[in-house]
Amino acid sequence: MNKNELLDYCSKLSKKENIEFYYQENNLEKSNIEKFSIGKNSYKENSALLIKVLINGQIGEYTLNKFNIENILAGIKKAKNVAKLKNNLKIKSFGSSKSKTKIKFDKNIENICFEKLIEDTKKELTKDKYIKSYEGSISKVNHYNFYINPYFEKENKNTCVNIGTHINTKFKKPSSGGFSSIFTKTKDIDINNNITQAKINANNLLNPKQGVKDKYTLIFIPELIEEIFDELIVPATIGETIFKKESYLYNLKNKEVFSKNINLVEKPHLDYFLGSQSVDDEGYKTTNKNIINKGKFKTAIYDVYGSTLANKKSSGNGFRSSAYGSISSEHTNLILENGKNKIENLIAKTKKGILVYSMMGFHTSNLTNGEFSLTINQGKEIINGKFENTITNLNFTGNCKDSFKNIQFSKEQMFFGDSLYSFGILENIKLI
Amino acid sequence: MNKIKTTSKNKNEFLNKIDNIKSYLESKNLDYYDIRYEDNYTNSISIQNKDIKNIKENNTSGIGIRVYKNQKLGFCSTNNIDNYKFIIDKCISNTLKTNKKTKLNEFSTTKAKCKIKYTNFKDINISNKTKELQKINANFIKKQKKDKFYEILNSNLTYMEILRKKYFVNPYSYIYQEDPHIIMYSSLVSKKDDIIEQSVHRIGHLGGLEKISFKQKEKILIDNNNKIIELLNSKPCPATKSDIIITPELSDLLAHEAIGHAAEADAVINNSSILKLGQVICNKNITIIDDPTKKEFGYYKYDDEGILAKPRTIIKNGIVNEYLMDIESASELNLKSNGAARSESYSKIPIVRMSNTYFKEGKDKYKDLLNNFDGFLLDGFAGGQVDPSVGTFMFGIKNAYKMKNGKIISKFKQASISGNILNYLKNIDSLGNKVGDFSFGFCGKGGQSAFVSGSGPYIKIKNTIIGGTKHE
Repeated sequence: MNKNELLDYCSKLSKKENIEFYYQENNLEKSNIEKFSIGKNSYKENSALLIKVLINGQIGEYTLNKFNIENILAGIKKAKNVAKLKNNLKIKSFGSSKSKTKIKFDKNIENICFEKLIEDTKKELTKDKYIKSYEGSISKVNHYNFYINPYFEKENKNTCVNIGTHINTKFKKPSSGGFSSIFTKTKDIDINNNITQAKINANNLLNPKQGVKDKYTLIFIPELIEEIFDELIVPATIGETIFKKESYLYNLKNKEVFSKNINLVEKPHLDYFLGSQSVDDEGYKTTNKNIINKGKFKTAIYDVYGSTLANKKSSGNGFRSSAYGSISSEHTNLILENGKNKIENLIAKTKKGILVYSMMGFHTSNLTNGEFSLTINQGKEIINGKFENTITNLNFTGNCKDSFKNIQFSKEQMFFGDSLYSFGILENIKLI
Repeated sequence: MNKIKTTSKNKNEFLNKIDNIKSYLESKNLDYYDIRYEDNYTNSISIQNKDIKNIKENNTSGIGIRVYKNQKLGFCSTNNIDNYKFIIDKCISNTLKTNKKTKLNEFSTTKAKCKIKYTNFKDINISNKTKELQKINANFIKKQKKDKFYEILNSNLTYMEILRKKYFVNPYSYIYQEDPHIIMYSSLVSKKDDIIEQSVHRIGHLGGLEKISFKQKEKILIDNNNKIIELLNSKPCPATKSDIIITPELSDLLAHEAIGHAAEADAVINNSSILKLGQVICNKNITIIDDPTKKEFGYYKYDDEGILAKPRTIIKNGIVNEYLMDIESASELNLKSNGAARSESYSKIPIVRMSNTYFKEGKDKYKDLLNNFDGFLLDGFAGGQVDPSVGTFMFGIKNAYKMKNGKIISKFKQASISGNILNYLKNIDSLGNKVGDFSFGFCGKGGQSAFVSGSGPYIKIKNTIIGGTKHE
């Protein structure tokens, strides 16, 4: 059964038997960057079909990756058995929000020649005097999914090119540095810039020394601001988690929890952004939302289950990471409003600080009470606006509810595929 | 390849497909190839308080193929086995554009069928399993409601069954392996006054239904409840420097994160490890072993290159003794593979991984470790991370008990320890004389997850940075 036959068959069955289907297809081409060469090329294709039934308000799901009528019918039977077992909150119906919103993606990037990307990367792996070896990869990923429910169908596809370069350096004390980029437009692909940035970062981080415990101004690179939001702030805004009192933002809606400089918005319809979707994976329209406005937590997001539990409406944020995964509340694209000052001016004003390149321990944070403890793994000391030693192994601990009250952001923003974040500056932080 | 005797029509069809793929690969004049076919089953049941939040059953299958020509190595995979010609051609074409020369000095020549004894997951139907879990959770919630000291806000149970049926085929070898794993998690959120805490407790085993009985399922909840009470009664940990004693669960973490990753030969070859063979890195009482032949969560008989797995002594009496190697890294180092190539599934290329990693026991009795001890006893794993290229690591710790003269004087929660691997190992003062139970986990590397476990004795370490959530 080829893809078109499969989707036709599912489309007919969906209306006839009130079934939802989610078909997913990914293709990945990838080569590793190892030492000073490109090696271990991979080509992977992967497809799967999720079947979702709704019986007496209960959902049953089953996923398969061998497509024939016999397997699909057996899968429907299994999904129905699951639905019959359940006695949860009743879901009324599948979503029926058709949308006319069109989101642009670059069709050329889908067909970009991967062999050319390999050739271009090879040329950049130069043996500069401080470089011991390169690690990393270059990849091109095509994502495709097709959602069918009894009311409408939607197709979603996008392609991106990723390059991540990590450099191990030659100095006596081991050190490393790197840079990663994600491209969704052919014209933006710049392998030279990626590897040049990785070289600059690695060179900046030579010869690390144990940091000295003291008070510092911390300047986080955009990659770390993205990680701080992704790990410490955004998950706390999930409606179901808040309802279950598992989020430190419980009872804090419309309260000024964070810095007035934090304006975080969800924008689901941005062209060339990987998170863009006009309708979510449960059939509900996606919309723009103010998640945090001037430091106040404004909007919690919900999928169908979470909204039913909390007696709210779905906010159109029910997505699944793959046909094998369950629906969860996820944001589409997140944009953090940038600041007014350039990063070079912010660094120049810093009397005693650290430009932080890498931190460990995000996974140990506690979203229920907001407490976190992070280790600065790599940073560049700043004294009177000038870079001094590379430092390592200092601890930054605190609580999300009070640690980000004074954060400010740089003018520059970095693109992460489905988000934009800037450099972040926190003053007067005690490190041990 | 020897034909395997089969009786069912499906098996014959499957073997014919493998033969067709082999013939096609042989027509490409490759220097080597191997094929991994997998047929995987997963089932998970999630209970949220009284409700069944989710039941998810997946059946997936597919092939992963490695091609090797002119010292260039490539990999391709698909779940659509009939599309093998397209993916092989695409893979060979791209691989020949690469410029890394990869040595592969040995290949598996084994013919074997390996299956551990276990009770089939399908012996009990999903309906009965679900009802049992619901009952356990409902009884637990009902019982705890009587307790006025604290309130349980949420009690979630997750139960998972994973069965991987793996075939490895190369021009000389045919290996079939069957790996069952069973896992259960309890997640509790509880409230005392205005303090809300969350605690997750989990168990996981190599094996089938026989590994987790009804009583054990009940016990997971009781154990987790004890843990959350402990958290509710503890203060936030101060950030400080102190001597520490770590429990076997944390010895596992130290062996795995601080040493195991740095001993992976691919990291060593790529200059992103701080370890070197023959280097004295700690006191001679310390030996660290990675042993895939132990019937623990990280067990396997043959690795995903068809090489017989064997125990690896990474650190022997304080000296770096052996790396974890696959064929590629062993060939690069002019050594033989010790069977450390593992892949998450058919769709991922095998890479160097750990299995069951542990500190060998020392000589001291637990009571001797505690004798006159002033510092922190640390317990409970909350994740770990390491940068093997610079040697820094960070572990999350659930409970920290401040001790004076070997006695607990106060209880803290949510701590962490961090530092440089080499400095840390040098600060190990003494090891207990008994290795604890092996705990299980999933180790992430290169976008792949591997089933692992580990353990060790109680270990006393001097002068350690404790990252708490409060400044002392």
